[in-house]
Amino acid sequence: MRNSRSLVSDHRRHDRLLVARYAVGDAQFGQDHEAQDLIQRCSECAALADDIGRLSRAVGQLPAARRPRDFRLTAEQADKLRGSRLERWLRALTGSGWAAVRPVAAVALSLGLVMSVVGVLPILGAATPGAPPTTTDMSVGAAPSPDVHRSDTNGMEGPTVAPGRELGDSDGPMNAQGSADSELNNAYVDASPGARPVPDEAGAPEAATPSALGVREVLIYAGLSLTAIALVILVLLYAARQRFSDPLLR
Amino acid sequence: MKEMVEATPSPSASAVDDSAEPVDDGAVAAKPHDDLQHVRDRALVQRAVGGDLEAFNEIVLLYQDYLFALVVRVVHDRESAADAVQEALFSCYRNLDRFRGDSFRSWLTRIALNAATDVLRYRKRRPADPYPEWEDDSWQPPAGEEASPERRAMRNQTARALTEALAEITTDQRTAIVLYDVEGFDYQEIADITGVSLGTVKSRIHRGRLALRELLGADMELLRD
Repeated sequence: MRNSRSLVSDHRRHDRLLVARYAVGDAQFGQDHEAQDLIQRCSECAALADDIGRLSRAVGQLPAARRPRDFRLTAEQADKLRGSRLERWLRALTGSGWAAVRPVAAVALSLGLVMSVVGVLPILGAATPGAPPTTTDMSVGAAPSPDVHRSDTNGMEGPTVAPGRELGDSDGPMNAQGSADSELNNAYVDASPGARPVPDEAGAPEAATPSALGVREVLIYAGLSLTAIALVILVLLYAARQRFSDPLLR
Repeated sequence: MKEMVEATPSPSASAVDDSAEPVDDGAVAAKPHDDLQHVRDRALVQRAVGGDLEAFNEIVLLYQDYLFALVVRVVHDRESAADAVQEALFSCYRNLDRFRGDSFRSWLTRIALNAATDVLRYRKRRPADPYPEWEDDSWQPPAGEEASPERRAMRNQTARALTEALAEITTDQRTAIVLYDVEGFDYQEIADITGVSLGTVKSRIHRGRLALRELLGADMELLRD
């Protein structure tokens, strides 16, 4: 009696999961001997190993229940399940193939917003003093004149005068008083037909504004467009996911 | 797959030939029969994706018995199981173009088990007897022609005890055991279908068997005969 009790209490301490694994050949490498030892020493473990094998076979031989009905689809059910072309397209958006589009659209949205903000902020004007003139520059003056052109060194010097013509000879309403008078040079605007203003160093901020405006406009429009497109894509993907993602495909 | 399971009314009868033999951890080479089945399934799926309802219904004919037998073992209620299978097939039809894997059977099994899980989660009605056949004398379980009435009665009693014990263990353990012992999937396939690790699958199966033995208690004698 005492022996039997001690055997049972011993068995309770044995690793029954190991025996269950060993019974179907699933014991990990190196545990075989331990399991074998348990089965040889403990009759309960030996019985357990036998039972596990029998259980596995018995479960495998369970009869299959008969289905109560035919699950084939009717044409009406199929039509309803397929949905309209739009629904099929939106359903396709929930597929794994579109999963990569979501982060790309999110990045595009951020980029578009940054571009728009940078375009709106005034920092760009100061950042591009030497920006080449754009078409907006042309709107200030008249058509390019052959006798007024930029210096070939930095493009920001005062107006140069065509050979044979002095500044003082200008017949415009605002004559420059001399080449040394930089203020007057800066303020000089040849209003004669064919002349156009040329930016100089002191006048850079004002003169750069139209140039920077062009870049800024491009940034703003491109940023807004990018933002809008990315937003539409994200909204579409979200709506499609909310409406058409199938929980059974999880 | 551990062993190919026919999509016939009784795919489970011989799913496990000898579980006591060492089992390779999911590294069983694909059998030619598996390849043929995959080719057949892919061809049917391709036709069905193209709008051929007959092709899809052919798939349904091939798998509906298997799916129902599987799901009813998980949910233990015929009506719920039928609803789950129907939902799974609806979902399958809607999303056929998303099937990318190698085994259509595994994909379909995963959908059906998800439907079964949902049924278990939201089930409100009382489970009905999943095997009313056992009350029906005209129905005979898949046994040899030579089986005597006593033998058949014994088999029925064993099956009933085992089914009741299966209903008592956790859903995860039951699903893993049914997929392995009844449907013949290997460990890796079960891990893929259920979305857990290989170790978790093994643990569920072994712990589930230990739990079954405890639950069967004296009825284990039925298995020993």
